[in-house]
Amino acid sequence: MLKHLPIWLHPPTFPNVETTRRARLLHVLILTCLISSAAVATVYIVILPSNPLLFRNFLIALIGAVGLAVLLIGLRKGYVQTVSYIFIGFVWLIVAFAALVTGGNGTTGSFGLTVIVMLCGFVLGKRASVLLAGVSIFYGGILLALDHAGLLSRLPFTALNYWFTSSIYYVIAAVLVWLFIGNLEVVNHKLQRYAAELEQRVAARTAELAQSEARYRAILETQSEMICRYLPDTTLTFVNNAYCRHFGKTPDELVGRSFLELIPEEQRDATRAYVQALVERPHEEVYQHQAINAEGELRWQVWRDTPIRDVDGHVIEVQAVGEDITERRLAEQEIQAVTAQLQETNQELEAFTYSVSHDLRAPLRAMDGFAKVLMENHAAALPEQAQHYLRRIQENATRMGRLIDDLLRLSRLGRQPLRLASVSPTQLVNKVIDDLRSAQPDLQAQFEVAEMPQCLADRALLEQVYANLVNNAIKYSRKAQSPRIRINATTLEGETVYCVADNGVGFDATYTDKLFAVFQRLHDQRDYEGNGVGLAIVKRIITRHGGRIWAHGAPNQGATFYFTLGENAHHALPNR
Amino acid sequence: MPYRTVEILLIEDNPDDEELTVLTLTEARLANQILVVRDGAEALDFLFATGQYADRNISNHPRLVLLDLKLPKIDGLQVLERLKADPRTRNIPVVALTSSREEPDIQHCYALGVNSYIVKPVDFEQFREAVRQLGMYWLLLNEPPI
Repeated sequence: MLKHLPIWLHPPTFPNVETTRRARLLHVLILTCLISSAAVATVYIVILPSNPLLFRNFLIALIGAVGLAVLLIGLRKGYVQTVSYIFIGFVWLIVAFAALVTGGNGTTGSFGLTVIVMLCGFVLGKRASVLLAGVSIFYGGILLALDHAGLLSRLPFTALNYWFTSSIYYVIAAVLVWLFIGNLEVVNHKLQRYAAELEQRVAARTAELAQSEARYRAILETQSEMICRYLPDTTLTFVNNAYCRHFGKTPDELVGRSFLELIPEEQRDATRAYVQALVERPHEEVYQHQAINAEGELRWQVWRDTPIRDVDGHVIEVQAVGEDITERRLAEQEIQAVTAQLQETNQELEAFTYSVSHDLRAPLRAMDGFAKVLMENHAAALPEQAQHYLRRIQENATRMGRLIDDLLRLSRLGRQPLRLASVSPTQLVNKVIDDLRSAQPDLQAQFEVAEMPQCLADRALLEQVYANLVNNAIKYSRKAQSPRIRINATTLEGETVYCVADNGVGFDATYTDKLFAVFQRLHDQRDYEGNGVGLAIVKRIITRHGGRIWAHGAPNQGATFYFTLGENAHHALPNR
Repeated sequence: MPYRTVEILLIEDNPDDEELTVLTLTEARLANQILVVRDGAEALDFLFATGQYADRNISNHPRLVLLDLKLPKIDGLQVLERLKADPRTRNIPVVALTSSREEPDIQHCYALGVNSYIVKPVDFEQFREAVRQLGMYWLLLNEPPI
């Protein structure tokens, strides 16, 4: 039991601050009363053994001590409210009884009630204190009535008794004041600490804010773009350096005034309406308008506006970032003009090609037709030589027809859009060879076609490339012992290079640059027919794909044509 | 020539092509009744029985119209459009016979309802064969609506 004494003496603590305060107050009071009761009992036994009231007083003190100990336990268990009522109630009753038996109003007992009312206030609150004061006054009234009726008997009270009871009141008053002042000090101390902490925090925040503000401002001020903020009524609240420079004004001349003043009058209404819409339905928006700059020139500007909203979602300001786009707009207009011109030229070219296609053929057909009619219907009247010339006329008409067709194809290549798709060159080449074999069943040449990687290209045009290159190879290897044509692809520095090689007559490397030019031929027309357009078409197609074409060769050692299809070709799908 | 017996209407401004076409059709004994008009306006006058052809009976359709696309005054595409838009003339078979190989023309003609589109070959032999075959098909094989 003694071992736990320090714990019992230690004031209890509860989660609720107010409960703890009341419990601690009660704790001190009950403990004080307990010690006093014990002291009274001891005094009666040890110091005043001859007193006739000894036994009775001792018994009262003992019962009081036990009751107080029970209350102390109840308090520790958490029954703070109940203990409060019981303690205050009993103490009041005891003191009231003391007042009754010691002579009514004016005795130490009746003064004691004052102390109880105060105690009640501390332990049970203001209302309980007022209630108890009322009860005490009423009780005082009863005592008064009893006194008048002469029913009150004044017990003989010794000086010791007075001293003793007064002392208890002094102690209790001192304890209350001590607790109250102590509490006040604690609260004050805490308040001071909080205030200091708060001040420190505010100072730190302010410094942080100033720093961030400085950083933010530095960013805004060093921007080459114009930055400003304005209120929903278009009044400027901030402008950066670039903004001031552009308009040739100081921040003081701009802030507080409407930016509409910088805009030409006829555009103000539209701009005002735009801002109105932006404020009513806040969203990021891009807006273009004209404004008069420092030199007094009318310049085009583009603004990206971001509304800034308060917690209720109302727009309080708009932040705008803008730049001068006058030059860009001019350039765009120029490009549009050039594009329009180009389109016109293209249309003219189209019309030209159309009439070439239509008008150049008709005379040829007439030449060929009438020559033929002459041969058929009047052959008898014509000498052999005349018939020979007629045939020459016909041959030339036919050749010119083909030439026109090829030239038209070449011109069309520049205008048609590319239809890029994943293409297998191997399949294309095999199709070209199959077509050739069915057109020329007596074809001598041997073909070696290797597996080639898939590429991204215009299928019809790439087929044309292979058709022309393979036809070329067949044509120029016709006179070889055993014509052999190899078609394959290799990878050089990450780029796929396609080749078509033959073992024919080859060509003089000196004239390589003339190979791909229109109407350029390196061989005699009588040996190898052709019009000099085929390779030009091939080159045009390869160029349109963004690729390159070149050739290696030497007289009588065959020719090899190489080509690439540009960067796009490598984005082709993998082989299926 | 009495207009009601016209079997083939040849709309052609080029005298060479006209002569070669007529020659071929005659040689093949496909049509004795060929009327040649030299521009789009005259063609429309004939087909709709207006102007100099006002006394013609419009319901006497030619059995075939050979139409060159590039014509003076009113071009071939317009003639084709007028012809195919009118219920009285819609059923007359029209073959575009032209030098143009340009793709938009082909598509346009088919969109307007042309019955056939032939590019005149430069080679006379091929040209003759083409004219002979199309005459054979449209005049002998094809069954026109009544």
